[in-house]
Amino acid sequence: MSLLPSRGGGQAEPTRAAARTAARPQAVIHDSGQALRLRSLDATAVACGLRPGDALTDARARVPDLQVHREAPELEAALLASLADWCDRYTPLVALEAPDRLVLDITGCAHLHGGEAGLMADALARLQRQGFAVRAAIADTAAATRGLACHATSVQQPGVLVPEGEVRKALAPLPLAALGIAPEAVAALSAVGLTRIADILGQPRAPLAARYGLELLRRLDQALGEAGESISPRLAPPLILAERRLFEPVARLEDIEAILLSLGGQVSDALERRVEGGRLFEFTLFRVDGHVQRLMVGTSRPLRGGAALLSLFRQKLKADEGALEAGFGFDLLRLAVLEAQSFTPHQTSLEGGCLEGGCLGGGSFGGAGEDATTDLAGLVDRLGARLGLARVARFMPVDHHLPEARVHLVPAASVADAALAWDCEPRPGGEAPLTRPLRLLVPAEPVDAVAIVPEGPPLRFRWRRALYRVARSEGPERLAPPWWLGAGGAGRLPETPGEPVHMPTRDYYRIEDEEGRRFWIYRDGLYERETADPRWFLQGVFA
Amino acid sequence: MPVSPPAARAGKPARVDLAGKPAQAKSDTGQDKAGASDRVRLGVPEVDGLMACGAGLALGALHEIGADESRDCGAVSGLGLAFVAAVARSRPGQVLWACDPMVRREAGLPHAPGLWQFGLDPARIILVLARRPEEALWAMEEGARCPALAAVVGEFHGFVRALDLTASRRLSLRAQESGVPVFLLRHGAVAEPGAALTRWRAAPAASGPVSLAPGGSEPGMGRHPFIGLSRWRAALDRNREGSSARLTLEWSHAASRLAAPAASDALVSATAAGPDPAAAGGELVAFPGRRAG
Repeated sequence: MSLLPSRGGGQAEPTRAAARTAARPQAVIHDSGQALRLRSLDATAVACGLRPGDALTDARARVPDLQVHREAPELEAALLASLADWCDRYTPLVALEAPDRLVLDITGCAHLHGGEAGLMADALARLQRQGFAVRAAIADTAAATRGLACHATSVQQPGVLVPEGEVRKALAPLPLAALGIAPEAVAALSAVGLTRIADILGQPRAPLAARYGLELLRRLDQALGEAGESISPRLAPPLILAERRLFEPVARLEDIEAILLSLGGQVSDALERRVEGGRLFEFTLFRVDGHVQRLMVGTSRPLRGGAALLSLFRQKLKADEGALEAGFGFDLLRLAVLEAQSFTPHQTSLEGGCLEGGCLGGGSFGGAGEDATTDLAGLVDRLGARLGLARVARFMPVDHHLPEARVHLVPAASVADAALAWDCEPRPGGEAPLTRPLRLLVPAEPVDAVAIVPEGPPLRFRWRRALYRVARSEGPERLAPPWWLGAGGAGRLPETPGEPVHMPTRDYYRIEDEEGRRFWIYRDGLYERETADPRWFLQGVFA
Repeated sequence: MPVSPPAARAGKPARVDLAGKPAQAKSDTGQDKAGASDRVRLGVPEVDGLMACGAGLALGALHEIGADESRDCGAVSGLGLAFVAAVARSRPGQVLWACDPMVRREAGLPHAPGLWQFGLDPARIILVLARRPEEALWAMEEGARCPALAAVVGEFHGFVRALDLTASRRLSLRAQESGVPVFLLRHGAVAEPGAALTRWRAAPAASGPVSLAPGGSEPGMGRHPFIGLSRWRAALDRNREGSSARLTLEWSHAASRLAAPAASDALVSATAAGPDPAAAGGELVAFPGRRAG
């Protein structure tokens, strides 16, 4: 079953305001290339006799005080997306169909809102109160609701509810355009006198398919439920969901936190039954005026427990203060688990106390190694919740010779210790020198260097406008890019925008200036073989 | 063990040398077996002797290492990491390393293969890439509350308004409560008042000699001799536990050990009273640190 706000519903701001004032006829125009044409109209404009598709010049002549707005597809898309967000309150399966249609799969959800009729009435009333002109239909199939919402509704009766199994009867009187077929096909059918769906329902299928294509029959079957059609929901449905609807909106942070705590308890119970812990949680706040805010929190290990969740969301709220705009308050709060993982609690004491969600409050001093890992995971979670998980990183080795590609920073919450083994890296012993710098500048900074021998180490160089005289040097260490990226590479891949155009061989020198600063600089390109005028770069700083 | 009971901390400090083995302390009560300790020896008698009881750098305290010029970031990182490596050898757990965005721009990020060669396992580092200095400070404070960490490192560049006396006092208190040492690395900033237990200034120094052939002349390539072990001129210009000092320190990465090289002249010129800051750098100033106020 689905529910459809129809044309006029997903309009950009101008029409929304117009519905409130309704003093002058309003229209959104569309530039078709040859002429400006009306695209959508408000009720007053329709009453004046205008129709979508009329040329703007004609319309102006007939209705001089017509107020015109240019279409703004991005704004409309954003508005429709925010409406889809809002529709999340009815079902997690909301599909967005640009430019102005939402399809909701309300299977199994309707009873929560007073049945199908109650749900539709509620949605229509709330959306109309927000200033939208909206039409809706509930039927067995998505294709049927699209047709019904566009062609079976009127201003007086914006919602159509087709009881189960009566789709065929409801669709029969509708024009063929309600099937969503191409206008040429509609015109071709009407040329032989077939204008309504009823006209083709009884016809033999083979001749119809032969003359008007398989598309017509496919659409018809989809509308009648004889062929399947899947909608693509905007957001993945959550694994577990707990929500609280409020008769009286709440705006105080304390109230929200109290509700979050109790929702966290419900979610944790559900997780416990599945012997799982959540890795990604989403807290959604629906404001009374239709605005929807989402807070997401990821964790480094499976977690459950209301208090632990609350403390993570508190960090999130603290990170960007004032992010939560309560306005007139929230009337629906929802906590969802988007990702979960199996999680067996550890018994930590003889009394049967369980370790649930760790000790996020500030460190426990009880046990041994177990506590230390929990402490650390809690710390990573707290930091990640406030700064963003990607900003709490660890060094992962990458099998690559170029220094800037040797290390990959991965979120600490999502990486196993085993992936971070650096043992394979050689460690110079005795007096063997350090060959890799302690700090790496990314990107490497160009320097003006003077070398006596073209292929030798530099004598002096200028970095960040200061001159350095080289007192000691070691090298070169020659690092070449992979052959498929190299300057003379035979099997060169076609150039993509992100790919460096020219990657010559590098000769690295470790140098020390007269004052004892140690740097890592390289000459970009082999002299006279790859480039006539090699450039120098400073890439690293040694201890 | 991350946490040392307050009683042990207040009493006679146990000693741990760089290899992580408890030194032959006289009162080996068994607590030392678990590694309970609030000090770490750096292995340089000249430095260890400057601290209380002559027992080395205090854990559970704030230590600051800085330099006036941002181009001396290598010396600051080197000296700081030498301390961190010494701590990481004696304490289990991870090292939380918070970076201010300006440091990432001016001095770059720590390079994992370089850390490995220097003597600190990159797998033990959790890097926090803060967007603002305030965030980095907050992360450091959270880290200093977590006894499971081996150490907390925070890097800042230039004058940071958020890093005032209150902030450093808070860090210092957190470190005392949890026993986790906190190292504050300040690049391109003049010394400011703070609550740090020790404050070091790091300056580059010519590296040690290379002696591949015993008795022979210094080996080299063309006109340049080779580079030896990393050395820095370190000035301990504030020490709440003892006197200040200036000395040249050398890092032997193979042994993960600090040393005061014997060859260099005027090693220790300990001034009995008052700070004696290092002389400002040369006349060529690339990016001088913004002066406070």
